[in-house]
Amino acid sequence: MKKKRKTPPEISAGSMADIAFLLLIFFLVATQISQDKGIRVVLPEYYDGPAGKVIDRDVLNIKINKFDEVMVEGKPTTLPDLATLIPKFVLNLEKRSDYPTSPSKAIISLQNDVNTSYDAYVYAYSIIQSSYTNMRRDLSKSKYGKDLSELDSDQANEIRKALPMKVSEADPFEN
Amino acid sequence: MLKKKKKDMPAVSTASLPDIIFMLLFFFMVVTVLKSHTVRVDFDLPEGVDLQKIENKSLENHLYIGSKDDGSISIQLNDAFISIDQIRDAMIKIKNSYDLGEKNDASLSLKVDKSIKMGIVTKVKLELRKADFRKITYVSVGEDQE
Repeated sequence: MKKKRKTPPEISAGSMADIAFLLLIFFLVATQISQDKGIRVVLPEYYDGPAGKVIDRDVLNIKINKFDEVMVEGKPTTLPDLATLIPKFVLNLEKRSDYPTSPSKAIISLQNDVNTSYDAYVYAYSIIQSSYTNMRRDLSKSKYGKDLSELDSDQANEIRKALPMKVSEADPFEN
Repeated sequence: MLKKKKKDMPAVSTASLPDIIFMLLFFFMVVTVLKSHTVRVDFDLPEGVDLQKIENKSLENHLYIGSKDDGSISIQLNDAFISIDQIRDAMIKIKNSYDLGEKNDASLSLKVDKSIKMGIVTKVKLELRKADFRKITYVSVGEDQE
């Protein structure tokens, strides 16, 4: 009798863990920590006047038609090829006379049709942005021997000045 | 003597296990951000490369362009449907609702279906520029920037 009192039947807490686990798993599955990602862009200021003049050799014309076909400087190409064409144009290591004299002068002109799909446009834009990031990364490595993310703000500005990403988006053509 | 000692071996107490799990549970419940508005248009995000993450969520607004249940293409700004001509006023209103210091960080994430034609997107972009709401993100899927 005495022995029984010493060990009263405890309410088993073992199953509590299981219940809590079920709830936890429910929340884990139901939760979607939606970290949106994308291409960050700052649109140009609204300006309603005559277009400024640019020198032809500084501009790389990229056109996307309504069938999502790409043409660069009058030659048909594909979107993935842009990734090699853009650094070639901007850096102009071959000193071609129809490419810009300095990388800071390069302008990428992206023009599309009203019927171009958003998919192709976003892909083209992201390739332009990523080729600039790669070029900046290379410059940072060769100039400061550091990665882009390790630079202080002065150095980062210097890099941005040497390789400014100038994307000009002309009004879409209609046909 | 030896036998008794073996019998008294304390079992590992699992009583604190529920507490630990509840702590985890509460953590997840608190961390979870429930979507503030329901998206009523259908969209399939486009693909991109080298994507950047969206940092400041409190200053982020959302614009969705996609098809509604009936198949018509519609634009939803935050929680309400909107037409292209209304975007400009709506964006100015949103911008004015922020504090002075935050105004320039206000941004808009565009979630647009990949099959949408650029004609619509260009019009939306023009309205955003007119409203001087110029920080935007083309939300897409693909690999992050390392």
